[in-house]
Amino acid sequence: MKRSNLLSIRRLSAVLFVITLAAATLLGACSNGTGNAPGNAPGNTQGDPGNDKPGNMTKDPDTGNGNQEEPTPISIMTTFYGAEPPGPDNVIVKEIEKRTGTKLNITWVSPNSYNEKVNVTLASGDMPDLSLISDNFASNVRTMAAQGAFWELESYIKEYPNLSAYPKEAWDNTRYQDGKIYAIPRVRGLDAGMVSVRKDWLDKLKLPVPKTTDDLYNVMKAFTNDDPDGNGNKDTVGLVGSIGSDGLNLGSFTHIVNIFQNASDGWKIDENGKLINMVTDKSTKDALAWLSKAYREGLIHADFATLKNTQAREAIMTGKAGIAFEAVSAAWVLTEGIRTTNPSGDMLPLDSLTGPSGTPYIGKGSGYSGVFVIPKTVPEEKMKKILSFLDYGASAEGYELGAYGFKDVHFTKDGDFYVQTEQAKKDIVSTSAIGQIFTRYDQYAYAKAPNVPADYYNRSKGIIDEIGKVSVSNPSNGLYSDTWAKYRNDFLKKTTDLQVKIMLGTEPLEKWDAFVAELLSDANWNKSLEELNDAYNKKMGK
Amino acid sequence: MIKDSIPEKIFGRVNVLLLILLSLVMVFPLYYVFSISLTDPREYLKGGIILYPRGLTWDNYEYLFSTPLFIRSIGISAFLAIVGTTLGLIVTSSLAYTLSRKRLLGRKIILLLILITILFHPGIIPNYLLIRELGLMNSLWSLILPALSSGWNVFLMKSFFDSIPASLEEAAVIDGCNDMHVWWRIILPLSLPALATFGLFFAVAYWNVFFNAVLYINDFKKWPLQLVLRQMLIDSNTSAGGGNILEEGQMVNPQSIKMAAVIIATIPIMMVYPFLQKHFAKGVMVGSVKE
Amino acid sequence: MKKVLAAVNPGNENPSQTRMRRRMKIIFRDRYLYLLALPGLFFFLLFKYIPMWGLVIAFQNYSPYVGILNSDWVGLEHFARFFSNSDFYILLRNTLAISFMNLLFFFPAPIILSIMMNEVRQVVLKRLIQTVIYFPHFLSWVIIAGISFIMLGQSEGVINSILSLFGMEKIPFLTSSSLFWPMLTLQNIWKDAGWGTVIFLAAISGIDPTLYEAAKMDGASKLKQIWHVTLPGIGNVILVLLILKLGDVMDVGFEQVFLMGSAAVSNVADVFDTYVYRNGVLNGEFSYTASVGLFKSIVGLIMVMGANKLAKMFGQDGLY
Repeated sequence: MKRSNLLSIRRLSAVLFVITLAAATLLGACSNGTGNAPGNAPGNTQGDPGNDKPGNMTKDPDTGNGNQEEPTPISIMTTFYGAEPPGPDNVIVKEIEKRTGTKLNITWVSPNSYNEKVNVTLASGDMPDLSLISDNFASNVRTMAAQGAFWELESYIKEYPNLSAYPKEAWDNTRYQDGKIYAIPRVRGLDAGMVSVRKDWLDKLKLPVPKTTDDLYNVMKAFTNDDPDGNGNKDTVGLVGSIGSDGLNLGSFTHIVNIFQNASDGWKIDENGKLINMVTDKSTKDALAWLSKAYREGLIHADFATLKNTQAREAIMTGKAGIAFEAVSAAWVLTEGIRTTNPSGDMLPLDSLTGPSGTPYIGKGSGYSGVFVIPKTVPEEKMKKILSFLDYGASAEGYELGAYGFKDVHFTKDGDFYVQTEQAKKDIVSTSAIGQIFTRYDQYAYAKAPNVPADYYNRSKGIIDEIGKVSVSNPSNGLYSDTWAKYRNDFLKKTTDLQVKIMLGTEPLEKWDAFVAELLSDANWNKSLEELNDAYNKKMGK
Repeated sequence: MIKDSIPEKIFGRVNVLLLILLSLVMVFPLYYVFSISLTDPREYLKGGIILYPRGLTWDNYEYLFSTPLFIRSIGISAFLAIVGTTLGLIVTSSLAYTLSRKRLLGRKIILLLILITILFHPGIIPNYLLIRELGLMNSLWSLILPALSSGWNVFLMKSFFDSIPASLEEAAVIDGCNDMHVWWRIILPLSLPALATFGLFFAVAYWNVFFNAVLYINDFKKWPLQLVLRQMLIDSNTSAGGGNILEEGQMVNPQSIKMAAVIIATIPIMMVYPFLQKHFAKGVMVGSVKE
Repeated sequence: MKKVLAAVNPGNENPSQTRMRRRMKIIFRDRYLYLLALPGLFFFLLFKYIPMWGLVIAFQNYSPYVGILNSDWVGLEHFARFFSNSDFYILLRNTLAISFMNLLFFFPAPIILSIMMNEVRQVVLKRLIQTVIYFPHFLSWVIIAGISFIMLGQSEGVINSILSLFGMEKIPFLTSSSLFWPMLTLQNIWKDAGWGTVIFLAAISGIDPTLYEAAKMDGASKLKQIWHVTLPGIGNVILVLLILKLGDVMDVGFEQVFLMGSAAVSNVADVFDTYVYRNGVLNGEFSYTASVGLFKSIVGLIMVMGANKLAKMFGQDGLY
């Protein structure tokens, strides 16, 4: 509808624009013929720059001249990190095009405001052949899938060995309500880790590596009171963390609550096979009691309620705090930061922590971050071509080419490690660029981090193996309920607000009981749980 | 001239003193930001408050200037600021002047319609579709044209023109000028302080274009400064596992590089004001021209 | 041409015809004026009015994929959900409180500041002050929030460090509900009061200097000159700005509140903008977002029209 309307708008605007220009020339001179110089100015300024920069639009790749094999044009929208993305003439892009028989037209979008860009692109109706979407469960994306905007992929995937090699969890977690898969996961490691502790401080204070929440509490106490940095001042604190930036979860402290609940993200299947949310369980209150006691005793950074994630990290890197709830990859980043001033610094990731329930707990990730979708407007043949393009990117060879470039030109290999050369920087060969299109599952992905030394890396690998033995995933992944979608954020916000206040001591712990009672009697809360249970049963094929 | 009396002198002194104190409070962040921008990122990690550049280094600036994309983007932003400001002043001042003439039939209804555009915002999707249908996608005009005027600017500029007496234009009309000549040859030269002010507003707005560029400019070679800067603030060192910064817990560049970016993004546009100030000082007086 | 400006004579025809003809004559008389307005009017039509169709999605379950014509109409459902939300009253209270504190304390700040600056005689000093005090405007809220945390934090904040140095108790500036609104207002003043002077200084420079001479002749003191000459001289600009500001009462600057607010102060920091971000924007619910926006706009329109009427009653020009 819009198209025809707006086309006439374009014509109308052209007419009006001409009138406007004509009017501008009428500025001419007074009737007695004085000024003539300034009169032309406005007309000029409007006309002049038009021939300049804005005129050169990027060439439409769809019209690119075909070689003998006629490469398939594929338009892609994805994000990138770093100063500059690779252009169409980039040596790696060229090589990928050659090897996959494609002609790529990549729109590189800044991760700043990526979601807004996706939203308007989805709305505009001319989606690229392949788009990265950060949240495939956002209401608008889900609606579009239901309206048939994207290719349903499950039946095709098995033809592609490398894509099929993605962990089953990753594929399953992208599934919608109807049990269908509409997207290719941008695959990630499943076990990311959860918490790390200053190992050198533990050694100095002769403390064992904490296994339980009680151990952790004692370590926090010792880190706060026993001068672990040995500078003679009581200037350290046990635990630093930040609240989720959208205010919808406890951020770092969510993990503590989850350990007490022994439930990933607070969701659990109870003994009757029912999906339950543990926020109303007594374990949540116990966790809050633990946290508020720790804060009262000064074991948690005083400003945690207002800290941003980067500030919390700075507190670790500057040696002000010794425990951080962060992924294994971040543990190295923090260690590297600490080592700029203290070469013996070491953040040790823990494989799990045991709460009062007695079962060791660590959460498992969804196995992906963002998905790629192919719009239904793409013909089936081309869709298959795109899948094989992605399949190539998920192969050992393709991934190496995309993320690391040519051997001995862009990287040298040292065991497991890719050592990037200066040329790699020049040619923008990086996981931050093509690596945002080509992804390959790596169980130990989170052990990798820039500049990580071999010993640290190998230790992290071992820890990830251990994590894999205990980690549990969130059973509510991918479940949808109308009511929950509508009220979810309100519930989460209220929960988080009260939890933070209880931690700070500005509200008494008793308030939590009242809150839970209120929640349990809230019609929307109960309806959400009902609907989510239905969804769960449906998904499980019950 | 009449000499200032004693109390007036005291008034003047106290006034100046207060303003200097206030300026110090205001200049502190500039100093603070500048200090960090010259601080070695490793020194920054030692913690504490930075009251002077520690481990003085220009590396942070060098990093920012290291890519051709960045230097090009400065040119693009300058282009946007110059062209946008010029066109914006013409479009807005012509309309504002017209609407300041009380004899204009339909004036009230037009003003009301413009007022509505200040209050009601249709959201980004309709705007995006309009830009696309106009064929402006990926063109720098998509950043210039939609910001050529705003209700806010029209109303404020009109309030400046309101004070220009009708007698002035009547005189010009008798000289055989039509309304367009009056605007161009008499009103605009008389309104230099206002034009300088709104010129500054336009220049700042165009210099700071960010969001529209995200939406409308696909070709990264045409990105304006703010977009490139914010892009550079996200760390380029990423790993396979953590290299996905749409997720929480993103690793960003050191604070010192961020602050260098703030300085680069701010100083050029800040420099515009001192050049405009002479127009304020002159402040062509409507009253004195009348004679 | 010269004669056109003269009053148009009414003829003997019947009244409505006469009026028509008179109007046509006036329009013809002012044709160049209309021509001058054309580019601007065209701009507003094209870039401001054509996208206005987007407002109707407030009454739909809009899905961009099927477009506005094929999306379901839901009437006032989104509005009902918004108004029946149990926090509506708190959101309204917080929004209005922050807005009115800004109106009361932040709005006059640049006026006072520019009058003070106008009284500075040393030209170099004056320009220097002008340039310096408008700097904070260019810092983004992210940076300002960062600086605020460094100054006001509890464990290592500059002010609290000084307080504890003197053996005084630390003040939880950032997590105290009672300090949140004043802190926002102060931040606004600090960030934008200097920038706000730009427009008032321009207005002041348009004041006829002979008026000051005359006032001095009459023996008026400095304060009296300010009261009787400067303020009336810029009154027009102040009034326009004030009325426009009133249209924004429902907008409190999302970025600032979002960055400075935390769970600790949520009871005073949750406003319409943060609410709609949480419940509409984050979820990709375009229609709900649009309906809250429309509500804010309508309130703004009522405020502006009311204020304009009031201004007219007091014999001022107002906006229109």
